[in-house]
Amino acid sequence: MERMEQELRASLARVVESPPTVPVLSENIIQRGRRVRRRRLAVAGAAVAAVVVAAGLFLIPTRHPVAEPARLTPRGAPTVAMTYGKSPSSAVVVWPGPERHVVSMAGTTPLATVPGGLLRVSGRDLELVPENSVRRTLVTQLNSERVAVSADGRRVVVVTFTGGGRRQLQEVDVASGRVLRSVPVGPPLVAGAEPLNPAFYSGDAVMLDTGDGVVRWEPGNDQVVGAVEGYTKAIGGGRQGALAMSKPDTCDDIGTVRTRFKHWTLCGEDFRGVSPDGASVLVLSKDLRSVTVNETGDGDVRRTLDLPAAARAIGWEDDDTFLYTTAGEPQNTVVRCVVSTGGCLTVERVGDDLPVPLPDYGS
Amino acid sequence: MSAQTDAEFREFVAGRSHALLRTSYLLVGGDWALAEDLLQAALLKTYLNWARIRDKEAVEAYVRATLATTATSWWRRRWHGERATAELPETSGPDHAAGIDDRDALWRMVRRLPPRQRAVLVLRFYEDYSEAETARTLGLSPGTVKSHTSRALASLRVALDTMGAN
Repeated sequence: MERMEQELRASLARVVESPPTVPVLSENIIQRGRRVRRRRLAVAGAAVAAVVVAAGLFLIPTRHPVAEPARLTPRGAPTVAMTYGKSPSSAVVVWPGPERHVVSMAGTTPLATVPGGLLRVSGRDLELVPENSVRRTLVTQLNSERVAVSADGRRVVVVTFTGGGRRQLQEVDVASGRVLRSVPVGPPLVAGAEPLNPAFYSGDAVMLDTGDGVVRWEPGNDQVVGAVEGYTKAIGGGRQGALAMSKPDTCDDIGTVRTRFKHWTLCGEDFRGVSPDGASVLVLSKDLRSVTVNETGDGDVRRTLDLPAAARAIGWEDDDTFLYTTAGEPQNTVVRCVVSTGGCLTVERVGDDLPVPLPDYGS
Repeated sequence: MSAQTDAEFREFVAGRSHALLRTSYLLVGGDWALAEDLLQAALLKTYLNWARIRDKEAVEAYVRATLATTATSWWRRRWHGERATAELPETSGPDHAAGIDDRDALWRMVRRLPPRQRAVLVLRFYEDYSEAETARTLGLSPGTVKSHTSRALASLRVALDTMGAN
């Protein structure tokens, strides 16, 4: 075999001894690259529709009955912002709207889209990146890993450093950056709670996760952050989050989840958020291969879908559709599923990026 | 993309495109026009991802990996030219190019290998990649690379033996 390998090395080297002169490639490629980038910024639909047509459409096979044919699934680019990248901090956000545009995330973390733009965290700053305009710093000296965003996207709640090791819980108006209300938080109020992360609004109250429990900041109450008994964590997702209580004796992870409407019991599943209208809950199986959509009102199962590939990221697009992304060979994909019909279609094939849909507030 | 990025990219292409074109030619099985297309596609991907490739020393490895994976995916999805077959076709009668030496005959056999086997051979015996490097580049396990290599070499040996017997 050794001789064969030597002959092969010689043969391969020999056949490329005299390549033709390479034309000037770089200018062509730079021009094409710029066109590709412009196309990603262009009005939603045109370029992506071509990709969809070229790539073909497929109906996700499912063991569960599908009420309507997949052709009723709407085509077109995602209508919520999507990050594209190998990690949030290396991603760009492709942001739909009257004109799709791209926001480079370089070292920052995207949080959500709100009426005024894209919310992101840059170091210890909370920034708003408006469409086609210069970014604005809303909050400095952030001391929370998460921020809560109101259902209309016009208010956020954050924890900030105020000096001397003191922290403050603030509600901030997104449009103006004005502090609407604030309350000092520290050991006397939240004993031993070093992490204090705003999770979500429940009406006008704000739920905060302390790492081993949940506290609530009531509207109009500028002095006390009250504990929510019986729950061990506040989990986020879309415009409404949920409270969870671990029950390790019966479930691996989350035991009971309470949304604004109902208590849920989940075993071996991940709660992935409430639809924008608050009507449905998205639950992903632990193996990432099955999605259940439940009604928040009575808990009925609206739809169960088996996914052909594991969902890496999943999020609501609107009240009736959700997007999930898969890591595939050779390309990752974005898939849209319509809850009412049970149909799913590939929306985009995106190379080696792994897109993540961003929560959309206030649209 | 900034002007600096464009300048870096131009410099890279000017310096490395000849070498990369050779690899591309071997990967596509001996078609310079197709090799240029493949190289352009790989360089375009590289340009679009330039900012994310933090270690600029790794750019060339990135391009080679993109060449190899794109070549095999082209074949699977939209190849319009020669069809690869798992088995080498039987020779039928005297080779019209019997005058050329065995090394070129070997290349003709390599061209007929399935694209992934050919990619493995190109990386292992033209680029001198180790099995581990080849596996990383193609996104395969080292064991798969080993088996592709073994099968490809065995196919070449059988084909050459058959040709010699004829």
